[in-house]
Amino acid sequence: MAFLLLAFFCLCGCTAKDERPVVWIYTSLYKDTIAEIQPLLNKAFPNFRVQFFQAGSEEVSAKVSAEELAGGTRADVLIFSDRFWFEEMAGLKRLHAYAPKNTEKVDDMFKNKDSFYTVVSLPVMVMIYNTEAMTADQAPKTFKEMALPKWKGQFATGSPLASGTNFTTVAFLQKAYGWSYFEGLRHNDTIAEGGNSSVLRRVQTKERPVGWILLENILRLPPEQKKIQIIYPGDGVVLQTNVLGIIKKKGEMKNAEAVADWFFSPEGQVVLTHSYMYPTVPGVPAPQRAPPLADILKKAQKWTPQFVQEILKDREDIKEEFARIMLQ
Amino acid sequence: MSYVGFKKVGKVFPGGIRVVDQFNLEISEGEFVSFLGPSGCGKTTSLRMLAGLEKNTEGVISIAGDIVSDPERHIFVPPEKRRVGMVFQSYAVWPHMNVFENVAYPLKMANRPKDEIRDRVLKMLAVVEMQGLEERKPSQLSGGQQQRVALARGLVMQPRVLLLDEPLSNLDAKLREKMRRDIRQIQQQLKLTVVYVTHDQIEATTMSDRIVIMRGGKLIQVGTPTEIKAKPADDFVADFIR
Amino acid sequence: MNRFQQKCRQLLSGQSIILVLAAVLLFALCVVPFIELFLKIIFSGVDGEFSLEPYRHAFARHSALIAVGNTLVLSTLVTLLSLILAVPLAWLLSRTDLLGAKRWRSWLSIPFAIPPFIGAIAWIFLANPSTGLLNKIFGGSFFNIYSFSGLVFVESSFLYAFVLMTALSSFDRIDSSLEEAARLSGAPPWRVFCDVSLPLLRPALSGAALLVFLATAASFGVPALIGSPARIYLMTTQIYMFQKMGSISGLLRAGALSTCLMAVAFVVLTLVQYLTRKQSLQTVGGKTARPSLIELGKYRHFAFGGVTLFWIITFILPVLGIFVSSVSHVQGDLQWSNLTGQTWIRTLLQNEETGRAFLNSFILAGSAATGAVLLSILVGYIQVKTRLPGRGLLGSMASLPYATPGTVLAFAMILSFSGSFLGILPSLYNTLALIALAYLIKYLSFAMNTAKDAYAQIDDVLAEAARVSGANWTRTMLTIWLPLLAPALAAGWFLVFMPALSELTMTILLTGPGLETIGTTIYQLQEYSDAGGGGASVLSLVVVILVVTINLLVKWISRGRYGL
Repeated sequence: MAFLLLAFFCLCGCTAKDERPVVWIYTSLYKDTIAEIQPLLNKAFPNFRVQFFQAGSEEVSAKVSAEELAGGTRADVLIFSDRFWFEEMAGLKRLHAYAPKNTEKVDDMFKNKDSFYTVVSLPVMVMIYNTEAMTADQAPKTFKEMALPKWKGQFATGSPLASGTNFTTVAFLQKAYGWSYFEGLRHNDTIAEGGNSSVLRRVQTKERPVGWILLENILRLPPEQKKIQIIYPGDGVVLQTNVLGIIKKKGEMKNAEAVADWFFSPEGQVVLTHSYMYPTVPGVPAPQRAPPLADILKKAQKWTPQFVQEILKDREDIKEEFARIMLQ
Repeated sequence: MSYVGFKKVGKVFPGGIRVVDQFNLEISEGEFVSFLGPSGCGKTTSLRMLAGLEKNTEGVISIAGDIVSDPERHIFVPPEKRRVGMVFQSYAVWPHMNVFENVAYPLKMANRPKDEIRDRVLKMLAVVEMQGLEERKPSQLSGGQQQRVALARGLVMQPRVLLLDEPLSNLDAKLREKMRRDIRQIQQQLKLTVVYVTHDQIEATTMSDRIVIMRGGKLIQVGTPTEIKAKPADDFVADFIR
Repeated sequence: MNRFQQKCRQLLSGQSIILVLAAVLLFALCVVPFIELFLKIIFSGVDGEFSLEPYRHAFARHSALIAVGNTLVLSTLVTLLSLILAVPLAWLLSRTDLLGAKRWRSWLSIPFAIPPFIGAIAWIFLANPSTGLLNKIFGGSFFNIYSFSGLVFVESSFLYAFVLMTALSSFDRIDSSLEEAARLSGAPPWRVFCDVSLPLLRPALSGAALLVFLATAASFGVPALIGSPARIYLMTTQIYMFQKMGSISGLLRAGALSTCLMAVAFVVLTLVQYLTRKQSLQTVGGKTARPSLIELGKYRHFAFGGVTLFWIITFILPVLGIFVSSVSHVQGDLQWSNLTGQTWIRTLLQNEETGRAFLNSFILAGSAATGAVLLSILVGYIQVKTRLPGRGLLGSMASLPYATPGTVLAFAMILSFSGSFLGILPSLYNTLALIALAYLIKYLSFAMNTAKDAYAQIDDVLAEAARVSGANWTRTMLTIWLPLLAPALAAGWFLVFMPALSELTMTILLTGPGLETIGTTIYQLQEYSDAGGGGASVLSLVVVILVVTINLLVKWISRGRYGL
């Protein structure tokens, strides 16, 4: 009996082999990007270890929220694409205010005014079409025209209830064109369900030959494939924001700050472009096979602080309204 | 020197209810002593205190010179360490083990080697006239047979004292008579010290060397059957032992 | 050896350590999460100060208030309907010469073991306004399951079984001479029922009715599958939506609403305690010889027809429905050419998620059942075979999670176990371990009750004989208690395994990528219908078959003591 207890306590008291401190990064970056990043971080920071937790953006945010509420999250650095979540956490004073080195030139619309977070990369929402169902000329040119009757039964989107990037897209489009746009989509029998992978699937099977999707989902397909082609909407791509923030904790924040710095360094920014996201620090080349950032930014709707606050407040209403119109 | 000693042994419940009045008793080695009395007189409680299944709140109980219970000095030897054998009124033969396993159990607990166990169990089964029935399950045995198994189990570990708690009350008259003779015979054969609890005066008088009469938690009289019959302590005893 | 040494010896004995650990574990699992839930919501202000913000936010929008209202109304209606259906049925089955009464008892109680959301799937297939089979048969779109009445109907068609079982067992226990005296006094059967039987049944029935109320308020599957598409939100689905927001404010709102749901549960349970306390009067009559049955005479066939029709509507029709759905190529199309085995093949064999879901469910339910049984062995011992102070509380501690709505329990567990639990465990958020733990805690009382029953049946003498034979407490436990408890423990294992296998309400809040279970997969398949639909029906049918089979197994193991 006594032996069992002793063994139990020994097990609990076992110290880890590696004595260095750990910086935890919770992120929605793809696994292959992380695989690329890990050795680079190991080299850059011999004094501490960096460990990753990877899941979809929604899962990561939910996990951090739950852990925070439960007593404190293990995560130190967060990188995922729900900007509104970061805004809210900033408001709750749970983020560490820090402007990473090299972010002086980053556009203001990608920064939080109190430096509680900074946008580290820009995924963009574009459209795709299946070349087996239409030619390049026949393909649509803008988001707006998808509400026209000629596109009945041809369009697929994701759902803002399931996907953060889809939510952002709906938020921007709703601001630009109002809810009547979505009523038009509804009349066109648009399928609005799931995330970006569902859209890809639907376009590939021609269930709906046109869809809106993240640029990175398409550029990740084998470059030789010709079946699915990209449309850069004439009324502007929707800019998504991949945000980096640091959780506020007692004690030393230097290591976490150093990691944040790395992601805005030329080395870090280039790695992010390997994931087909645009860099936010000027001077870094655009992702392979993607148009230059300047072109993208020309027509895209801008992020403004008012927009952020507005959408933050109306989040639930937007989702409800969308559900009411599109999912009845 | 007494083999089993009760020195000022008594039991009081926390609320103040007295179950057994303080009594003294010394039992010699090889002696067959019966506790006799009506139900609720405290005889079973006294037996269970000796076994360690209940705790005396007062007095000292000793077996073969070892003090097994002394509440004042905070000594209490748990039942599994007292080396007493016990036969219960309801036999308490384990239904999920066969006859052999039941009788072998105490030896298994003492970590005896397999051959030794086999040897001793079979010998003991022969003593209680249950040889050949090792594989049977209790559900396949009659009451009398189960009783014998219980007896064999109590004896097999060569206990310092054998305790029996109204073992025959569930048997029919004929069987009871036979068992009385058998138990007494085995006891004398093995020179066992036995403490036997019963409410049946015939059992007590025919089997015992001495009888302890109890009533209402008090020890009323101790003596050989002849002594008590000749000089009963009071009317109650006279009536009881008639 | 002085007193201190002896006390230490005693305390450190194998028996004490094991038992104390068991009791502490029970407390930690069954009580602490709720305390934490409450504290975290109340003290959710910045820097941990007292704050009612979560409640304000949760109820800032109408939707939450409406949800509360909906829940209360739905629960009331379902309770009433269940009573109306079950009580006359019980009377027919136990007091009249209805044909096949004995069989009916078993058959009509089966819905108790089937998760209601499976019924939802079946009835959606049968009665959805666009492709519902019944609508196709009878033409038009008369039936619309996506309605409040649809909710009431589906929930009642399952929960009536609970009232039925309670009523039947109460009827069985009534001293029949009380009713016979009424009959001899000239009262016709229905008066006997109203004047004598009903009053006698009232305490037990009130208890059962309130528990149906609670079960409805706590249900998630049916509200999610039928209510949400109809934009009818209930507290459980509202909590789910809040939690899905993924933000701290969302979690706080979910938590606030959870505590409200818990308050509802608490009120109901207190009422149940109060009402069933008066049970001691009259009912248990010693010599229950079978009461003389009332002859239905000319109503015999009518009654039999009625009961059969009831059974067909509540059981046969839905089962048939999901069967047809599972072999239909296009949902709702009633032609022979529409039949296909493709859906079965696709769902069970080609979909890797289904395989993983089954594996997960079996592992989760299995480990929860095993853990529950192990804990119940020790706790049952404390309850029945010791006289330790406070042992009465153990049973109540275990029934706390059982009586709590699964949504609330799951949420409490998220809050307790996502950080480090009492400083010991790592974050269990989004792990299989947390789900298994939730199942264990929720259904622990099933295992504990069977263990307690079994211990009570075993005479102490058997253990005393072992101790006198030289076995210490641990060896007695291993060689005597456990083998004798084995059949009951097996039954207890299955009683936990069964509901855990198809659980949805808690799992939906605790699940994550890679953590799919049978229940969540059915839900996902139904909500985001895979091309062609039918997948949910395939899995539902599998669940029904599993449940019926396991139930028969339990009945067999326990020789009819447990099981329907």
